[in-house]
Amino acid sequence: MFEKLRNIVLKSGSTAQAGHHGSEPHVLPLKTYFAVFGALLLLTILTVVVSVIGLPQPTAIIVAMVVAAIKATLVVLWFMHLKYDDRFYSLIFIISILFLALFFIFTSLDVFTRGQVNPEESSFSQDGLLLRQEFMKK
Amino acid sequence: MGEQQSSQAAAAGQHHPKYLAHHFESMEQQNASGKLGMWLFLGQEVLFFSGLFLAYTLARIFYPETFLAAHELLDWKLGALNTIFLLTSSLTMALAVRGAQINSKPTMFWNILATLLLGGAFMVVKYIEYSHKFHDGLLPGHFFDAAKAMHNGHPANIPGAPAIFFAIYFTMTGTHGLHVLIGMLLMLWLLVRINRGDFNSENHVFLENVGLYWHIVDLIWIFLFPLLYLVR
Repeated sequence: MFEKLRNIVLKSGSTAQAGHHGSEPHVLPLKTYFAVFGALLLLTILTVVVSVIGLPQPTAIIVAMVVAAIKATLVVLWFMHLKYDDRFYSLIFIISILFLALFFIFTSLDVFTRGQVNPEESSFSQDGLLLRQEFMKK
Repeated sequence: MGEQQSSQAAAAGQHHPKYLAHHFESMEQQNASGKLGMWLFLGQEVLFFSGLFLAYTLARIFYPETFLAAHELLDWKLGALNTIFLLTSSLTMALAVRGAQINSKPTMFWNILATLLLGGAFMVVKYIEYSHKFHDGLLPGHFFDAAKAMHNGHPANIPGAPAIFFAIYFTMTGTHGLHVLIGMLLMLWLLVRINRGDFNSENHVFLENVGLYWHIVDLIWIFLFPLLYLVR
């Protein structure tokens, strides 16, 4: 899957000759960039409109994050050329997102189940609330 | 070894451009290595910002009422204006990289200049927002001044912990703004190098890497804008 990049980076000797003519960059037509830009602007307007309408939570935050994720995908695929580049760059980026998810999941597991072991440390019990308020006063 | 390589290259009919560093065998290898390094750095950037986004998420779950009330103190119109500035700058940056691919020096130069100016416009709006908040006492942690905020016509009592909201607001937008500033410095350097004629369709991985960096800065703002300004 990533043979092209591996060959280029690790053992270019034989493949560099074969792949030399392939070093010409992939040029996208101008209209592709303007289409992506137009879509990004439209999605920005959509987020603002959805926010002004005032959907109930948690629908509002889910819609906002889905729209943001679509915008991010557009930027990454076309402006950052991941759609046309070697898949290994995509793999690095996806792995970083996976580790971000891991970070969120394990921290949440800790924060939201702490109260089951020690109610005083719960973030949501009355005791936990008081503790936090005291901490704030310091 | 070096002689052997160059004779190999000569045998294959390859030219040896002056910008090809001696430890790389071909431009393709040199460009791919540079870009690989940049993508590893971008992966690191995602993880670097993930801590701030996690802090935001937990604080918002702890104090939903604070986030609902405090976001009224941010001007979503300025946030939207900044979003448009950054999205447009991402377009001009992508066009500058395309300019390098088609060997057009003016396309590179004017698009990078436009990107730099749009980044500057973003920072000006950020300055207006920050100075307004400094003036009204809407500051992070124990610098938060409720009396001053009230005196300046803000809601008398923001429930929960407004100091935490502003700590998160300033840390997230401040870190992002620092990235914008660094990007602008890189673009000044780019302008010098474009003017010098350093880049062409074969050799522009530096321009491309600054572009990738600028897009990730834009990408982070795409998430910051709805999270901070559009809480409903």
